[in-house]
Amino acid sequence: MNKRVKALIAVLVTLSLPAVLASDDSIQPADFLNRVFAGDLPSSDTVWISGEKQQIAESILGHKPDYLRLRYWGDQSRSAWIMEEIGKTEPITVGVVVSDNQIEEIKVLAFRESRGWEIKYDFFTRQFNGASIEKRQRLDRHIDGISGATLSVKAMTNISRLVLYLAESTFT
Amino acid sequence: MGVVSALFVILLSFSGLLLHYSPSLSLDNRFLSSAVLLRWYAIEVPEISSSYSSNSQRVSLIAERLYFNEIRVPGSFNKLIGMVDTEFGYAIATENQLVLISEQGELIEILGSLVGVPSGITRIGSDLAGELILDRSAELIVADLDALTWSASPHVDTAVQWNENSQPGAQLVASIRNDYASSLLSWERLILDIHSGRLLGNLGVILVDLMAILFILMAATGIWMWSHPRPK
Repeated sequence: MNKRVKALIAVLVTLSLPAVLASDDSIQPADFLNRVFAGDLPSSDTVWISGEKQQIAESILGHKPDYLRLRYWGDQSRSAWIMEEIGKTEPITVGVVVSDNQIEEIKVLAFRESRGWEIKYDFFTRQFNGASIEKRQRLDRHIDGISGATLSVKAMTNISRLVLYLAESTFT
Repeated sequence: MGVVSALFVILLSFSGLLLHYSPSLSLDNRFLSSAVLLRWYAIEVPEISSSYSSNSQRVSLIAERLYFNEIRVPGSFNKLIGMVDTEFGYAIATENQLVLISEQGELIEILGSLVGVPSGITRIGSDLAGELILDRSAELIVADLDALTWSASPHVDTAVQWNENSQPGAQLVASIRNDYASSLLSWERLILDIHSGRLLGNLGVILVDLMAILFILMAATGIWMWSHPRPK
């Protein structure tokens, strides 16, 4: 094959890589829960986000939560939560597993924005593993940002803080 | 030519600065409702596709947005099936979800297949005992929203009071369509289109391109003139 044609193909493949990486590979919440609980899905319960909880949720998210109650599966020792939060304009669906008030796993289930999809990958999400909250519902660690994904990173961090707060206030 | 170029530089620089700080200025979340601008962009506000009333409250679907009376329900919805009043507020059915709304119109929770809500709901209603009944292709299901159980209903179709599509009042229609229209054109898009010239269509883009070429020429000739001073 002509060297110039090869070079052109290499350029085109490189240019199309971001679009491929950003392609839709959403995970169904049911599949996430089945994997987390190894197919033995526990019953669900809800936390009402009202009164003081609503005020704290508002301070964490930077806006009033869109809903009055959030559902979780499991119990104090291990629970899984599914939550949505707007990144820039579209909601990001995230699954969070909490064990003993620490994040065991956080996973992006659906990402609908055109930018910031890098938060889906393990190199970013594993920063949250083992994280818990301190005073004023701050994470006990710094989460490294991603250039061009500031709002998605912020949404993900806020989700982790809110879920940890709700788990802690519900189970303790 | 210099004055025109200077004005363009100011316009492009100022709009560029605004775009740079768009997230912190929330320009993508601030919307314009000017009828003139909406017409300029040829944005047409759709009609309300379906609307249901229960206990003097009304739910309406416009495009993918759901409104409880005049309050927008967060989320995106495909098809509205109906609404019934419950002990906690209202249950709104879409094809695959039950949207729970408080008496004050706040979203409580959206129930979906994760908690067993059956798919393919075609009607929602209630029986004489106040139980919530879902119709799924002639299969009647009793929905217990506390226990989250979905069991076969012993009722026949005629024993259920089904919620029927009805026409909302003109005032509510106008209010919903106005609210919808005022969330379509963001400041960010307007400033971006001013910056790129797209506000004036293809002609505007060509104009901005010509000005950019002019800036390059002026900068290049300016450097050349600076480096080749005229002999005194």
